[in-house]
Amino acid sequence: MIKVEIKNVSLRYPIYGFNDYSIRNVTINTLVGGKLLQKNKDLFIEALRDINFVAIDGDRIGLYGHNGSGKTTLLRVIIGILKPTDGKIVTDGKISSMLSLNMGIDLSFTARELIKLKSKFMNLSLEKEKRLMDDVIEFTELNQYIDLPLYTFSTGMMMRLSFAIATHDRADILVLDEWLSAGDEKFSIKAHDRMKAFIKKSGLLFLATHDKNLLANTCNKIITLEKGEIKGVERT
Amino acid sequence: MNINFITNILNNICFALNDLTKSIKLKHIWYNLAISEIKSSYKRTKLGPIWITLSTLALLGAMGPLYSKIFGAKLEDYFLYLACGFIFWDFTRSSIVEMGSAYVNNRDILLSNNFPYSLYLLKTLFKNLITLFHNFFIVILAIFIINKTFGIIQITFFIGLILSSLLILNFLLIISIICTRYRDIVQIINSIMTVMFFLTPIIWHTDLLKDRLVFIYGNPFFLIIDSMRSPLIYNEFPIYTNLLIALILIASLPFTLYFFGKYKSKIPFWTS
Repeated sequence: MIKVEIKNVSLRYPIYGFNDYSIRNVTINTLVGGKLLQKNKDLFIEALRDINFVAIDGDRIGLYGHNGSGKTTLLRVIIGILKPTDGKIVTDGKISSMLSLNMGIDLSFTARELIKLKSKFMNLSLEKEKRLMDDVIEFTELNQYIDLPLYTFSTGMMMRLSFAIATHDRADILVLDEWLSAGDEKFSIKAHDRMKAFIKKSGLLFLATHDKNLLANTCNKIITLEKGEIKGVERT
Repeated sequence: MNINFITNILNNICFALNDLTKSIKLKHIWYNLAISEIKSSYKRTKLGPIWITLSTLALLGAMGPLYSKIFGAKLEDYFLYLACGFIFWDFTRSSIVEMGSAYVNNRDILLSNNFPYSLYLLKTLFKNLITLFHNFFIVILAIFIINKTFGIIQITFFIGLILSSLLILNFLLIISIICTRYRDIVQIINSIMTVMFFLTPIIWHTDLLKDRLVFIYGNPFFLIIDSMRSPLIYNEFPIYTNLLIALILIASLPFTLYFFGKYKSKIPFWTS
């Protein structure tokens, strides 16, 4: 059964090279970012604190919160990139994720090269690679930009490309971070339709964004995070 | 000995083996990442990765005649010795230095994908093997021109290459993690490698230090280079150097696996 179960998860980031950070700064809470903690001489950011929830097949979970509220960190914990300091996470299902727009790839690559490389990552056959290429070119409408280096792309164009690759194939769990906010209106409608179709094929969606309308239209559950803690869970 | 202590050690060794097995299975990822990194480095150049071969050839072409004169050696013999030594040294040095920075250099990919950590080491090692084979063209050419023979023993250079690559990977399981946590270590390694270039018989011949063999056989970089150089230029399989490498590998492997298994989950936090 496709499932993500998070039990009492907390995560603290160690910060190095700032050991002389003053106690005064540590104790003053700012609006953005996780809580700063100081243990002995070591400085930590408490990025997540005592997170608990269960997401099952069919759920579309929206993560909402300020910059630095812990949305991306929570997504990284779900994907398995970061191991929680405390607590436990159980995931069951194949995960497809898009956390960064260029997917960590050198920006001197052309969009076509990026798609080919991603298809190699996914171990696709030549036939499936061609299908991915055609699908992405058609969906993104990048036209001649498909053979230009990624550094010539705007954030919106990068987002089109990454979104098209991430949602090409079926996945049990789809994890998207701060995405649709960079697209224009026409693309947002198109992307929304594609996401709906993708969700039908996939089991579970996690979407982190500042856009409350997008969350209301896409998700059945909205989790509000503040300073790494769950401040509220809303069903739509 | 405390049973929990032993269980802890075995668990960490299993975590490390699990990570390595997953990385090996993801060959299509590190293979393509390595190739794309080399292609990216030579983007917009007319000759592409052929520059790797040409720049090494230029360096050897300049050093060979000069140092053969300084050491009073025959140019043909010295050139082959220098070419093999230098090319295998360059592979060893760049593998160690680049693998030390592998997690920091691949931070964006590491924080966007749930890949096993050793994948980044395999990618870097493979990238350096590709560079080695570009340079190896010079060695083959020199053997054909100078020695004019190519026998079955020379093929055993691959045994040395495999053992040396495993030895480098083995120690870098530890060193790469320490370099990620303490950034000064990368600079220290860079300095050590510069010193070791002169202390290792690469530009000077082992015969010059016949009465001080401990300086030669006690140097792990000599073992690595000799395991690959001897079959190619002397047409003999260096059984003792290969055996020593295998022994160091077997003796250190449990500890390196334990260390890697214990600290690998800290890597994403330390890359920032």
